[in-house]
Amino acid sequence: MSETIISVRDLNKVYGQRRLLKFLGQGFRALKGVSLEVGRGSVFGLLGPNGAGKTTLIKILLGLVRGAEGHAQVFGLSAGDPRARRRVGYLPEAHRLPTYLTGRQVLTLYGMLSGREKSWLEERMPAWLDRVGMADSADRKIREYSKGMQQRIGLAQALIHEPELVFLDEPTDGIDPKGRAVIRGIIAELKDRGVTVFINSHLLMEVEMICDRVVIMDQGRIIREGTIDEMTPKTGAVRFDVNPIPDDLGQMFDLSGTGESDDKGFELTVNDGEIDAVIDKLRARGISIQGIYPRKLTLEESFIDVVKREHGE
Amino acid sequence: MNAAMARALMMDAVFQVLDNRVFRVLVILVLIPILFTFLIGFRESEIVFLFGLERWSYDSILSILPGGNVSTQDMDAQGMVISAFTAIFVDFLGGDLGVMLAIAATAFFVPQMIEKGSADVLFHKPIHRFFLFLSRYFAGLVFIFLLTVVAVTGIYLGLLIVSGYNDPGILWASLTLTYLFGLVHCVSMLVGVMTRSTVASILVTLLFFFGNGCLIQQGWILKEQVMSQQEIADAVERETRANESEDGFVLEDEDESGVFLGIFLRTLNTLHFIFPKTTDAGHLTSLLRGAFEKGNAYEDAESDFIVLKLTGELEEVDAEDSVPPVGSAEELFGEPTYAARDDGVDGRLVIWSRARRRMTVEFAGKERELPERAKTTGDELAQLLQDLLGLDEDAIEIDDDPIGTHGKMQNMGPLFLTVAGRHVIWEEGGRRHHVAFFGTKERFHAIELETPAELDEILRETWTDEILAECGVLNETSQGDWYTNQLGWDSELKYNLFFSIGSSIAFAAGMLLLGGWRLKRIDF
Repeated sequence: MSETIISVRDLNKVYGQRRLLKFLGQGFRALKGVSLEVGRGSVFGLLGPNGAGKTTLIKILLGLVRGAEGHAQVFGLSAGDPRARRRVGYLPEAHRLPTYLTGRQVLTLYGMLSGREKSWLEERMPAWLDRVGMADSADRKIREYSKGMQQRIGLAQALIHEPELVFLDEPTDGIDPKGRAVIRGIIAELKDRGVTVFINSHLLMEVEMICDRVVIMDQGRIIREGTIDEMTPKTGAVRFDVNPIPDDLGQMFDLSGTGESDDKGFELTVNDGEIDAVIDKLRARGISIQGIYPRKLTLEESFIDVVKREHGE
Repeated sequence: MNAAMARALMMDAVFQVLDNRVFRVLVILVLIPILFTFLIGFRESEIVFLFGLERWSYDSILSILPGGNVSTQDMDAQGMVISAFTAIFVDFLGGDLGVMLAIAATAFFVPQMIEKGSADVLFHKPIHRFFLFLSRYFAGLVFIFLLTVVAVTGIYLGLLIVSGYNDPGILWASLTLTYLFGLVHCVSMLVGVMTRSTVASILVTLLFFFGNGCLIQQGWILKEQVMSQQEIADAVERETRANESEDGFVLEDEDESGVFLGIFLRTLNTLHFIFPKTTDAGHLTSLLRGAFEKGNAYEDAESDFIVLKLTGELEEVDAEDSVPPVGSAEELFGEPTYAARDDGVDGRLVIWSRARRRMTVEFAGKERELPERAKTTGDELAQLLQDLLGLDEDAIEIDDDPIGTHGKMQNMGPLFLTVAGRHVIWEEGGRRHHVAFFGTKERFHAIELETPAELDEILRETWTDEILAECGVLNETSQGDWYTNQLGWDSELKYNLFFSIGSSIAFAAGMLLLGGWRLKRIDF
């Protein structure tokens, strides 16, 4: 792996624990021995059901939550160290920006709070406003913004000071499909520039499209970690898109087991050698083959499967 | 935190205030008294409405009030009306109502900052949480400072332009009101971070503002004034009894206060010293305004003895050159603290001051240590004059006229207390010496008047009476005036302005540090 930007080992966090009652183990255990590493320039996805501990992990890394036990470092510095935070951008979930400021003032304020000079920010601001589609609304007050506009300007505030590491918590929340494409584009650009992106999202399709590596958390623990390819393995089934769909499809092939069909094609569990036989059968009947795809698990299917197994379902 | 971050916090504070709706409403409200000062002119003898459209003399206004058939010929009616106006609009509406509204308008600063969503965006920035907390405190100060600057400057300009009344001292009010607000805003900040509730913050802060101001601070001032007045009254009464007694001494009273009263007074003292002296802010304004006004010719802060003004052709001279009228009588006179010369009559005035001596005397059947009295010291001087100068007893005139009996009045009664005195008058070397001894609290004074022996008697009597009419011990029955007079930059600790401001700021700093400590421990 490239240079490690985030390093977490055996991290534990208990909320609501009083020192005197510590030995009784009271309080809510949000993290239970979490360990992970994130390399420079990667796009890292953090997945998990509600209450899994994802946001707690991010907030510990940003110094927003304190009192965790274990090892947590960002840029080789203790989590929450101001020198590390200076190099970090963060778009929180359900964030609230100061309603008394305009979009432009928000970017100036948060950019300066990250240590950048006003003139430095003013040079780069038009490009960022344009990139998130807010150039025309930059001088309106935040209170006049829709949820999607607030999300866009929130994303810009996370990036305006050009951080090396960006935490995005539900970045496409409230954003329309066109806007989501823009955000995906921005993340790709960040990756190209060597910026490390740490994404927490429930939109697993998006994560699958954007991320290099993902971690699935549940009940404060990491239950699965790997690259997108590792998380979406082949199922052994192959999908055939054909035209027309033969009426006696059930007689031609054994559709029991994983076999499924719809008005565009069907799916069969076959090995590589059996695919030729299927093609021959279809061609012999004059059926046009429009596509053959080895079937992979989607990230969503993989996620649900992993979480279900974790819960013993 | 670098300079850019500091500028960002300041910028945020200003924007937050300027966008505040309550702030805008208050700006409109403060324009009302400003408009008032521009539409109504308070002239020396009349009130002019709408640039001369209507004119009312002060006498005609007073005549329509019950019992108001009074001539204002000898009164500074303009000053009195403007004082009343500024007392209402600056001291009350600004000092009390204004602070209350400002508390209500700024109480949301901290709860809003730390609510979910806002806190995440702000607190992940590389700035210490305490500085972010302080920035909200600063925003509150900006809020009140901008308002008071607009109000006070507007009123000052209105009075100057339309009424021709120049009182630059009023401008201090913007600073003292900001200081006052700063002392209570810290409580709002602490409650805000502890409870995360705007409503709780407003209620607790208002409770603190009134509880501390009305009960603790005003209660302490009232206690101090009552005790001080009682002390002076007792001292005056003892002086009078001593003057009337044969040998000039009286027994001192014993402390008869009960245990519970003692505990109550100690508790009140402790609370007063710990909590911010919010009521001092108003007195501070009065004192700072006084810096622009002509004060008394002489005043002794410890004994409340003052010389109002110099009469006739008297002009102040260096007191250090003065020597007692009788050689080797320094012990009787003390230090020359004030002196003036009148070249017209070739006379001089010297005020001598010192600590009251205690003397061991045989009194009421046994030997006792008792404080000196005007009578004993006057008689001591008379004896000294006989011993040193060889004057006959008949050549020394002794008089018991009290000090401060010329009847000058203030709002709440006579300006001066009637204090027992002992006048010793004699002639020596072509000069006539008139020394009036008197004591208040633990101080002892001598007013020395020296004139040529051949001066016309009527002229001398007039000259002497006019000077003595300006001398006396303040009768401070008005609580506000009494306390303002006690306060000073060099007063004793409990009335010292450095201590008042320092201990109040220490309280505010303590509240902010406690708030910062709490904020540091919050998991967002």
